[in-house]
Amino acid sequence: MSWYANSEKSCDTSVVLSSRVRLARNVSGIPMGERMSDEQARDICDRAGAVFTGFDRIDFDRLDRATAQSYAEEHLVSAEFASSTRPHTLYKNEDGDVYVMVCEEDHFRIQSITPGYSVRVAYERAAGAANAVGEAFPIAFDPELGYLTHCPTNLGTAMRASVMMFLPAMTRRGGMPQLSRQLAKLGMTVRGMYGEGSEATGCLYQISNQITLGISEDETISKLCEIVDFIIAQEQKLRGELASRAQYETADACARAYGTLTHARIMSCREFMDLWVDARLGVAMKDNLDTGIPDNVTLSLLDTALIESQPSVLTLLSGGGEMSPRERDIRRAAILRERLSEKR
Amino acid sequence: MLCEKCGKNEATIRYSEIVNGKKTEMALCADCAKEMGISADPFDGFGDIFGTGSLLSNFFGNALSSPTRRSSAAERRCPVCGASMYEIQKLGKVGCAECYTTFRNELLPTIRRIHGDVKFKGASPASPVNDEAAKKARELDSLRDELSAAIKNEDFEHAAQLRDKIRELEK
Repeated sequence: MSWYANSEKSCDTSVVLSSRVRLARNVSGIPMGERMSDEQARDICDRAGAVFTGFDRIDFDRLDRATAQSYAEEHLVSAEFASSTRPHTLYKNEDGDVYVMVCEEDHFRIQSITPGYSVRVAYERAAGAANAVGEAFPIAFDPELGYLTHCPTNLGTAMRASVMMFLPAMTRRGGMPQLSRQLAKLGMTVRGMYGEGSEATGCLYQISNQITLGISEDETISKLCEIVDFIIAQEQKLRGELASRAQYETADACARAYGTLTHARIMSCREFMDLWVDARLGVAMKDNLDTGIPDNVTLSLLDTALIESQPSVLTLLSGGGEMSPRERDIRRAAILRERLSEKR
Repeated sequence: MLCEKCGKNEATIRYSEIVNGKKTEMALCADCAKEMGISADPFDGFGDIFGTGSLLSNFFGNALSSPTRRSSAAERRCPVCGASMYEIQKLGKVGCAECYTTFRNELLPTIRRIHGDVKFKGASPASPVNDEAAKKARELDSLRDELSAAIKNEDFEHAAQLRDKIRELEK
């Protein structure tokens, strides 16, 4: 079960879709990145199998391009990991909340992705897997510099904690550049999930820590949560203003977006992303807005549609054969009609 | 849509650049984007803030600036991976963990520029569990058990209180 499926049953995802924590670990005495030989990489990938018993093993260098790319579109692996041709393996647990990239830029990148606002739970899961790696391999560690990583930006805890946030009200009020500047001063960073900076589409942003040395895991998470709490409050306040000052205009935009999503016959990814934002906002604000979007259309249904509409996932859903962009746009519209229509 | 650079692969990344107020947009495939040092992967927070290492190379720029350092450090190679300081500087990344020992003096100013502090704090291989976090995790586990029991006993008022407590702790 991925982070986006059935998430709202266990938590509120109207602003925070998911939380994630990633820990990097390297094995002492073995080169990293380009300096590691294919044999050394394969050896680590194989030996990791003994650590992650019960996990699915996926050798990415043996996957076809669309399947590899689909993991990146689901945000389960990095784009670099999906496209690399060297031996590299993904181990994922049965619950679908722990993913271990072996031989990415660091030997191990252990990440846990949990639905909603649950950074501590994600840390707990990732740390558990990282400890298991530490019991099986001699881990490169320095008392002054912490965990030793390929890139010095990750030294220290080698931890990146983040939340994925849906911020349509703040984006439209032009608040993102200012937020970005303020976060930078606090050692945090914001980036668009799709597209870059203020040009981000989908109004989806990842907020994460930038600094990893001189600050403990717990302090990092506390600091991140303080900032996320503040952003949630601002976004909710702005959504409240939309509901009170532009009730009909907002409801109209959300209802029209939903209507197009469920009636179009051909839809590009870009058009979809824009409509998706309004439809998701409508569902998130359904207590305050009369959008007429049926009750079976939930936030998690829309989040699943977002992933299924990405090119490689869509191609795989359609059988995996070659598709032209036009064929994909037609197929995307068909999937959306099927998934998002009213079910009685 | 095909990549506007190579014209071969499917474009998966829309890249926009604003130079002197003039905006240009390009649709790129993952390979070409990587080549240009553009990352479309927001979850790759580890290395990609420094993309191809170009920005980091600037950080490293001073590491070999003085002539004396250049003569001794530039020729030295890491005994484990064979990397030289010049190669590390060029890539913006070390070749292996041992490089941090071999080139410690050259790397420390860079590390200070990035993190501001070079005194590690946090969980270590010797004590791999972060005490604070572990305490919270244990508390969460017992609250979840209590919640299941409350739901089973149909004590919904208590269950609601527990749920709020769990939400607060889970953050």
